[in-house]
Amino acid sequence: MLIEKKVENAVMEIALDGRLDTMTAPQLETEIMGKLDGITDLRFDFVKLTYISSAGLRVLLTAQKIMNKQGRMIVQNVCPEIKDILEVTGFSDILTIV
Amino acid sequence: MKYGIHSLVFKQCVVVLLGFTIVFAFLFGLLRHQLNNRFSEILMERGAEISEKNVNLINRIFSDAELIGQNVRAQLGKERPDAKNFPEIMKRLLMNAREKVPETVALALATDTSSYPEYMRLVHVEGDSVAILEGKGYMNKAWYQNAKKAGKPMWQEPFIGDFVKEPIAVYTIPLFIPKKDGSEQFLGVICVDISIAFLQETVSNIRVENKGYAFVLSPKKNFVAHPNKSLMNTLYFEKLKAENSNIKAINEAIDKKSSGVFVGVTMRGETACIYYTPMIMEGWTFGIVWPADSFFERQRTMVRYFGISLVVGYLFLLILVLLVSFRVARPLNKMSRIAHDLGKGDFNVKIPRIPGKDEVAQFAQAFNKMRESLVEYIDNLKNVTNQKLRMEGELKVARDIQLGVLPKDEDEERMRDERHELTAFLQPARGVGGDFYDFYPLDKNRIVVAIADVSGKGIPAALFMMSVRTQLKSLALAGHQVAQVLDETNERLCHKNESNMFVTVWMGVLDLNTGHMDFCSAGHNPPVLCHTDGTVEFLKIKPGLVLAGMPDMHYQVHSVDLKPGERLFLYTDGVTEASNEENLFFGDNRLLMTIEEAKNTLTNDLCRLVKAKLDEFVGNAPQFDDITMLAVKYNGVEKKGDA
Repeated sequence: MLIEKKVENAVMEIALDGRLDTMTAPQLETEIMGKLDGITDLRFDFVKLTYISSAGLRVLLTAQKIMNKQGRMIVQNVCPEIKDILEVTGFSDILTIV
Repeated sequence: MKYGIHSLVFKQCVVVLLGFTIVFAFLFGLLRHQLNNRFSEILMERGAEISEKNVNLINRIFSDAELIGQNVRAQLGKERPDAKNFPEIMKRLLMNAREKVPETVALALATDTSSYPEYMRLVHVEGDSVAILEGKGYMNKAWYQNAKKAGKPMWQEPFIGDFVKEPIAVYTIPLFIPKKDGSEQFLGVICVDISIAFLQETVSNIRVENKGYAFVLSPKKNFVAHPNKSLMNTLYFEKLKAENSNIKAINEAIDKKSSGVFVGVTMRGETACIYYTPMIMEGWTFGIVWPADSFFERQRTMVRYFGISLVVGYLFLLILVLLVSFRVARPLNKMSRIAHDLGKGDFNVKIPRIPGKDEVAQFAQAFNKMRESLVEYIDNLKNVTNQKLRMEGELKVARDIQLGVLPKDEDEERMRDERHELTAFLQPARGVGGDFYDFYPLDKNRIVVAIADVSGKGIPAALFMMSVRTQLKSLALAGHQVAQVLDETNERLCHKNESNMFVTVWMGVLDLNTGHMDFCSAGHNPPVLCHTDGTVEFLKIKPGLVLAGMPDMHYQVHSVDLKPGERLFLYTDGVTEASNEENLFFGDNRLLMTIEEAKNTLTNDLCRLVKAKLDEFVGNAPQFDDITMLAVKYNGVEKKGDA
């Protein structure tokens, strides 16, 4: 999986390309964890993301919990397959999907 | 230990010695060339020095003799002697000549005229007296023929005369008188005979270093003077041997009429350096011989020293090269043997300490370090492997314990009755997973079925799963409604959930009398509902968030009424997301089709079929996730009247 991260002032944009699963979720975790200080706007771009597993969901959940305290987090360009997963797992209720 | 032609030692020796030979040969050639040049120069200088001293003296005598000849001709022409006064005049001229050149032994006039055909008068010194001789028979003599033919004064090839019985050189002046028609008529020849004994003496007395000697050569390359008297006595004018290779060289050298030095072979067959320079007499040569035996001694000594130093140098170099080569090759050989042993797994081989700080020593050190590192690494690997094996073993025990708490069948929960039947299946993936199913009776008429999937794997997932299962079950048994069970469990799990683990849960309570089922889904995949007519569908509702995701969640309770014969199939994403070798998911559609295929079968057969289809689909691809399913069939209530 490719992770493209851009930080501008308080905005962090992360574009994911590939599969976010047990193998790749730790990569994303290290990109985010401890690096969100001062970030008020976290944006995920899922346009090239093909799959998300529970390990990936856990990273999203962790990020969401942090951003709940210090700003907002949005998920953009979610494909139907991933949207299904987010809905089945109830994540669509707590994530801001645009 | 072998050092064959392919060994480093051999190659180094060959290359170094070859290089040494080339350099040495070049130096030797250069030095020899320089030395030869220098020798030639020295010989030229010496030759010039010796000849200057001696040849000038000889030349003067001979040139004086020439003057005598001219004088005799002039006097004879002036005095025009007749037969009577001729002897007196000749005697006088001879005495005058001897005053000037004591070596003059005779004067002669040989005529060939009409008045004096073939008539020669010769004044000759014999001891203290002077004799007058008359002679004939000279017309065919070489000197006479040559003098006549030359038509000008010249020195004849020395010979021992018929009248003068000693070696003489004869200066001949042909006489001509002009005729009326302008041509000249030959009258005869004036001869000045010079004893050349002085030449022999002079030449013999010339001191030449290194046992050398001087010689004089006539125009016909006869020795006129040579220190070897025996040679002179027996043959007098020793002709150079025809086969003597010197002839050509000498001829060429003398014809150049210049001085020079060449290396040749003497009459005695010795190799020698020969210096030559022309004399005043036409075709005469003065030469000096330095026998090579003594003269080249220095050069030969030098060559010998050079040869010795070459051999010594060779040996010295060979020793040095061998020392250096062995210094490299021996440790390399040892290392290669040790590497061989190491390769066989013998890590206790002793690596010799090589003193010094050069590359070989460094290599040995590095090699030793490598061995130590290898030993350490292998020990580590052994430890890690042991640890890993132990951990895997422990994980397996943990998994066994984890799965052991789950009910195997309904008998275990004492809930078997005729109103329903159910089958649960769980195939763990490698390591400890987080899936679980559960079923238990709430009371005589209600049973709980649940399936769950904890995010993550390993011991944390297993512990989390135990906790979730215990809480769900205890809350349900405590009499809470299914939604409350999830709400409360969620609160408890959210509390102090540092690692942000979560779990998806589907939980339903089936009323065995009515087929009514209340259920909640916390982010879990929708179960499949199999109708009695064979149609299947996902039991889709809007699920709540996964458990332990966010606090303060309120789960929505949903319900379904199962008709007798209808089945409900619960599963985790280990089923739908099982991948084949092409990384394709088993997927929802295949699951529906498979279940549709298992029309009206018992739950046990349903689960088996799904498992079989999964295995077929996955092939040899590895299983990453637990595969968990639970099928429940509602049979309905037997009417009492039918019993």
